[in-house]
Amino acid sequence: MSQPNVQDATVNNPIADLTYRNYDGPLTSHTFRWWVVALSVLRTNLKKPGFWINGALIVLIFLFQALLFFFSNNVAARIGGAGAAGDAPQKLMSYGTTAYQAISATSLLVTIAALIVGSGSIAADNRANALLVYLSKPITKGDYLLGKWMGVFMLLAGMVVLPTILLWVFYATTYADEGFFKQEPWLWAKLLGASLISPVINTSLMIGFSACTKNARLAGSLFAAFTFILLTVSNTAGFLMFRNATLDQDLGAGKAVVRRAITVQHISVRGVADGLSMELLDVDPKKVMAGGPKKLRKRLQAPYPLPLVGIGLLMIILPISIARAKIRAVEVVSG
Amino acid sequence: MSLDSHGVASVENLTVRYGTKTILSDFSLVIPDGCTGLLGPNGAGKTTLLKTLLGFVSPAGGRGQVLGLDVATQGMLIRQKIGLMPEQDCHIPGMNAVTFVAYAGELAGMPASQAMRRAHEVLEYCGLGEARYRNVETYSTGMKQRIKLAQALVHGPKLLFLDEPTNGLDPEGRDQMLDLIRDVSHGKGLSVVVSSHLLPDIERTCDSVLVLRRGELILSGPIDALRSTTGCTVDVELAEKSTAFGESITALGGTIGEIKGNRVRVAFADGTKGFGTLVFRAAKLSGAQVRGFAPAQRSLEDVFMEAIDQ
Amino acid sequence: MNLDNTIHFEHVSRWYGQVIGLNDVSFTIPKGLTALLGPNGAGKSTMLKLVTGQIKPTTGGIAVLGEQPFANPRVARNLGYCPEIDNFYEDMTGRQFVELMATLSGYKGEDRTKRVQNSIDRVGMSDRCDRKLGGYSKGMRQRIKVAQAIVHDPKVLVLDEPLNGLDPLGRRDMVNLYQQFAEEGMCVLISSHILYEVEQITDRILVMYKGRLLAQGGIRDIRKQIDSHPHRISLTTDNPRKLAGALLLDDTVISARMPQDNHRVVEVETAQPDKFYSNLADIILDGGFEVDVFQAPDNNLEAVFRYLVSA
Repeated sequence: MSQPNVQDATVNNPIADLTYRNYDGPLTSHTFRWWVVALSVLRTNLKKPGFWINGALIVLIFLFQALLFFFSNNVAARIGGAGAAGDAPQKLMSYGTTAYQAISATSLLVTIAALIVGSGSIAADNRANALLVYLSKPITKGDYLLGKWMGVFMLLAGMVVLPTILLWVFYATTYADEGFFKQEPWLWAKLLGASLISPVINTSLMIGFSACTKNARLAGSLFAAFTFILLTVSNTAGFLMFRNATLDQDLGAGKAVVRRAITVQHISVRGVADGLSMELLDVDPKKVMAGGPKKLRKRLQAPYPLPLVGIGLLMIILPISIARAKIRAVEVVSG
Repeated sequence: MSLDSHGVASVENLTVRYGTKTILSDFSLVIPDGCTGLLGPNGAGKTTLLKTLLGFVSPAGGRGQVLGLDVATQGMLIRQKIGLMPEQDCHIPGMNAVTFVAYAGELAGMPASQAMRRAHEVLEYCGLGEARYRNVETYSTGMKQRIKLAQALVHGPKLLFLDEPTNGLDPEGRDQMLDLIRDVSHGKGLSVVVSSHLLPDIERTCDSVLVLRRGELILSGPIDALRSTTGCTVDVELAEKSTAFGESITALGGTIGEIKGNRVRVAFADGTKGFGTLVFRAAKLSGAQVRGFAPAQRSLEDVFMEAIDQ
Repeated sequence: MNLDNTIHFEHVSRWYGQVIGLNDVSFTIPKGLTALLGPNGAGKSTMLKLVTGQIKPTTGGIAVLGEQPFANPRVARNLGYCPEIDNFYEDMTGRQFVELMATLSGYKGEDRTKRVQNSIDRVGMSDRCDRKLGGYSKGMRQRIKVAQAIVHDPKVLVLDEPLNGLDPLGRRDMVNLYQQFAEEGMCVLISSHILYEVEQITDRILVMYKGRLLAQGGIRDIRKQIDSHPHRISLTTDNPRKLAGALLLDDTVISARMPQDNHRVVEVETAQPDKFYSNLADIILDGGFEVDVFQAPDNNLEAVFRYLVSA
């Protein structure tokens, strides 16, 4: 091996040789190499004003829901009058329902955030041939994908989880003396779970679309089109099924049919998140779903959770597999 | 498991297949220290060899080592210790040169603080001054090539692979890049492999070459040795074509070989001393003006063409 | 239409907003092979765009085959262009792409098929032209680009970095092809950065620098012109200091230098190379010096170019 003749300035040799010198310094372990990629995604996107505006809007919506909760319960307490001493006053809306409203209302914003943050995540790299740089380093294609996914996910999750935590803190501080902890000891876990469904699905879908093209805008458009079309189709189909089922005046029969219709209506990104949140947070569907005339409202039910779990998993696993396949196909050296 | 460490990288009885096609079969090669040129027509197997050495391809047979690490099982460790300057344009979008090179360093396992300061050092060495703070997407071809080199050097590799490093560079840029390559491959503690179709580039930077054709190593060795010719042959350059010169040479006992315009190859009997004087004397006699002469050396291009044409 | 096969620029300038592309450039390119040289950003791409009629000059006149080339189908029909960029319809085969270009030039049927086959054969792609372009190597793409440039038998051929990506064999084949074209009477203009290759292909060059025409003509003539610039000559001998002494006595020699890395070499500089070379034979023979190597490292196109753009 050729001997290096570079040297630093020392007592014996006062003039340093400032040409190339080697690096034999410390190296980080390989286990968290994906974190470098994720950090890069974070850095790029935290600079975007769109991201912060989006985040602020989500916070505002949560704030609005919290205030609604506060004031409506005040009114209910005053109207309903105090019950026996020590009883918790009646609530117009439950903790879970308010949280559900907030999460559901912000689901479009989460999708928009996914567009801002994720559309270029892999597409821009494809255009710049960035994978050639990545792959010549000691980092696997899996690390790359994980890093990108985690970067986008962390941004989306942060936007939703933070306000959710603040909401919980609001509950905990304001209603502690009304037995909040006794009534809902696990609410924090349920809230966390419910708020994370949308970020996970949105991230996976966006990453999948982004990996398929070289054009960030195209990836974003495809993702938006997919989400919107699915939403429209499922809503329409579900609604029609619901109408059919409820044309029959006999309330006894057809409960399952109605439930099925509502489940179909929830086959979309937003729908899966809503449906599963409803289940987690024990929300009364009649209070939160738009239903039309009172007669039909009475027949509203929550969708079946299991099919939604299946669809949700499909929307997570399929795009990630596609992204993985696309990345695997890249060759570092081509003749 | 450490393999026989021959040279800085080597393969032994290597067989590589893509599906049903066999690209390399029972192929052996040693990459020596210093600066080595990797040559061969398109489709000769250079790309496959490179991919195998980088640990991206599992050989169907045989084995290979890079810096003592097995290519089949220690691919990640290999990529830790080598640098690759790809042929195609590549960069990470949305970064300037410093962030890009520092990021490349972090991807190679350097801690963030080390990566940043090292990026500056390497960019300085590659000749990128104030421009390093601009977005990479605004760079000229020359600058893009330099940062490709910088990102390959940032983590202090012991072996550097350069794929067509002078691609798209104007003559000045090419000069500077070749100087850089020559500098970094001699006395800086790392070895370099240059793959290029421009043989004068290889001549200028490399000490030895490896020539591939159709999955076989057909030629290898130090450039000087490959280029030398036997006997007392001299390439003479005259001011103008002159038949009289030829006649004078013959009269003095030499023979005229190939004539290309005003360049003449003159051969003297083996062991002739003082052929320089003979050339000048012939010039004086014939009235021709000699503008240069040197012991006949085949150009690398001639060596290559001869090897390939067989 | 003047079929004199020339490209003629008369006081042509072209600017883009405030940025100057070409600045008052005049020249004539006759039949045969001419090389266009210059650093990046010197105005070569602007010039090629003007010649191929993609843009108009801001001032001045251009005549290609006697007519101005901008949006001129008569010129376009007789001009072949092989650009540097690498964009194709990746799903087409090589043959289909050349066919498309031939159709655009107005050929159909039997005639077109023959022409397409002919040009594919000439660039050496006959065995590989029926594969999709997406799978082509750089060298193969380059050849197809040339095929489409010649399919309509142009009188003027403009090639931008045409040897990019070709291995040495391919380079040799294509260089022979271009020389053949020139011999057949085409006006061939090649833009290239690879000076050692240009030297072998042709003697006639056009050098651009910062939007101006820096030099035009034969390499040897240009070299002679800049003979006024001191030539460096290096001699290898057993007793270089003694030789240096003898050489310094000659008044054509400006300086003598003993390089530190090789103790058998003396380097001299002369401002009158022609006279020096003539005197050298006598100096050597009279002094009985035994010279092994005698070289003027500046005697090639690279040195000429370097001198031209650094002056």
